[in-house]
Amino acid sequence: MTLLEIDNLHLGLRTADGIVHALHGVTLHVDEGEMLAVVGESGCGKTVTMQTVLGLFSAREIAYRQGRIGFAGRDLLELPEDEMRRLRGSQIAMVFQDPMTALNPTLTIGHQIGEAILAHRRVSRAAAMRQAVALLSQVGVPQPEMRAAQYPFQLSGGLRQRAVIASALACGPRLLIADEPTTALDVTIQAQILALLRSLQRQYGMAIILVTHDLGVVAEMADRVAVMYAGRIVEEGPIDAIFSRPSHPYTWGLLECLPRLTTLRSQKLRTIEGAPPDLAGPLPGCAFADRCAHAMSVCWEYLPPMFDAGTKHQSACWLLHPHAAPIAEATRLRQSASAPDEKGLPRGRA
Amino acid sequence: MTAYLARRFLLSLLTLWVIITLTFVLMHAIPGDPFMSEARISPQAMENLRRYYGLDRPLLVQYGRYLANLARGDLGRSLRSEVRDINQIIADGLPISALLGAEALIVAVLGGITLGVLAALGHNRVPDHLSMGTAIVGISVPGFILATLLIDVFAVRLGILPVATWGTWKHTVMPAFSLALAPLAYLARLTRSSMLEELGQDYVKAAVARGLSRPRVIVGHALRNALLPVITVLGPLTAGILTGSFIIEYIFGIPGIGKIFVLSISDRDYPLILSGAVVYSVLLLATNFLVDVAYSLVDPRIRVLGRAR
Repeated sequence: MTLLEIDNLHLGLRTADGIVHALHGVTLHVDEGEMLAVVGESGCGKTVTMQTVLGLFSAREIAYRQGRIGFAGRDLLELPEDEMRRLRGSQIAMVFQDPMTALNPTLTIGHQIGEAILAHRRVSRAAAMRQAVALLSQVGVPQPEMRAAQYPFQLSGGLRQRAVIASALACGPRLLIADEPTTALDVTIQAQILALLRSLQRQYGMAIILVTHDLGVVAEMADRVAVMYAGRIVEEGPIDAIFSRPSHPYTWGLLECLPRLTTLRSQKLRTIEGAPPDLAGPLPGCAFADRCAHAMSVCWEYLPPMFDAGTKHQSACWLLHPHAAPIAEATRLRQSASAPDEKGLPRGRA
Repeated sequence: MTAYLARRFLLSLLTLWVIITLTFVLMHAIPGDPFMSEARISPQAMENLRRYYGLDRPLLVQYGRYLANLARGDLGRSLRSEVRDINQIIADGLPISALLGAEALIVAVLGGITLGVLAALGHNRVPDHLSMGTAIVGISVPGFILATLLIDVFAVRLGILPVATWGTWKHTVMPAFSLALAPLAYLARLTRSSMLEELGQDYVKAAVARGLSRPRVIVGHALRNALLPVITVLGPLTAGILTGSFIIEYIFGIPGIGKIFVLSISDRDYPLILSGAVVYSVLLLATNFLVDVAYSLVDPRIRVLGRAR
């Protein structure tokens, strides 16, 4: 059952430097109870998409907005603010990237979890606080009573992120959006937080959108992956397909950038040459064309539609057009991703 | 906390002593003496006057004597004014100045914060421009010009408020407002920028994402934190209002202490000058102290860390 369905979402935001065309037709869906990873580099529109789902941009910030965001049978873009408010936190909740800034420094942890409950349920303040303590213990915060009475600066980063997760869980949302929940944390803490999210997902049966730029996190956690580039989804598919048969040159690039256990210390880490396009101007063709080693003239002229690249696997690349020439690179990468040998080099013919 | 309070108190006493000493040195550095303006006075009479008031003694002795009296709570006797006992002069004038200052402070704080919040919420739109326009006028127009304008409009033309002097609450309206406008404008600008900064913080977005209503997010989260810098400046601001009252009291003919202390300087009324310094220093030290305490109550980062230390 589809829970969230974003259809051809376009969004322009007003900034001090003029209008930024942040989203160019994002199409994305999340099924009930699944974990979707949205991957892409900084500024590609991952966070903007998620904040649009929650309606966190004010009318004054939005220059234009088109498309549809279907959630449980309703179009969120059409909902009046009051109904949107009732939905936020209760049906769709969000975990922010940096737990240092996502908590109000002058209010207690318990207060900030409790207010999420009080915003949606008719319970007493005392009952909300008791529930806040219970939530803290559920997300693995030791001594939850003491922690609830403390202020954010008295907690470590990992504990703070657990508190943020507890506040997101307060009303048992059907969809949890975790926007780079581990980026601001130590590596050891990252693993704990991810494990927590996974166990909570099973427990609550909720869907999770995990926004990240870390493919390692994706491989461990997600059911499906959507790769985002310059305000558009460029490839989408089941986790195995994305890792074993990536079909968009940008995804190839991302996978090549991953350091491997076999990468020598003397070797430089791979990067994708160039920088993402400026979203202030128009982009007629594929936004990745300038950085793509396989770009053809059509890539700069026409926007590639989504081509089927396998079962439930789609990719917006002209290379998948039936008339496009096969690419050795693709073949090589597929093999190296599915069965790398000890040297991390592709086997067989290139 | 008790240790902190005790330390603060001792430090305040030290500050007070430094201020008295500096004032003492400075006022004796001004040429002339209290009896210069007496037109015809024989050298013998002058000598007698100086001896009577102890002005013939070495400065160090005068200084020591003043400190000793002050320690007993005796501010001394005025050389020029009709009421000779300075303690009495202050007991008469201070409540009036304090009432005026308090009224002005309340107007400035409530008005300034309201304008600032409205400006921040309507950022770059009409409310913002209106508030900030008012603030610029408030900062640019000196209190004494505003005072005379107010007198002209409300007392002379409209006749709804008394021109000057002191008596009913109606007498306090114009002086309090004249005194309040500049700090009000300053607070409005400060609140606006502080509020804008807080509204852009992640925790505000996070609070919205939890489903809190807009008023709850604004008052319960953003405003709360935006007021921290406002509390910080309340100490110096009170100083501004108190010193500003010199001129305003003069214009409206209000028998507060501001006017008395201004005149004491041109009169070289040494004990009265020193008393002015003492009274204002004590007021300032006290308000700064209160602000510090208030700040630690509002900001847990200061309160809790202070307790741990």
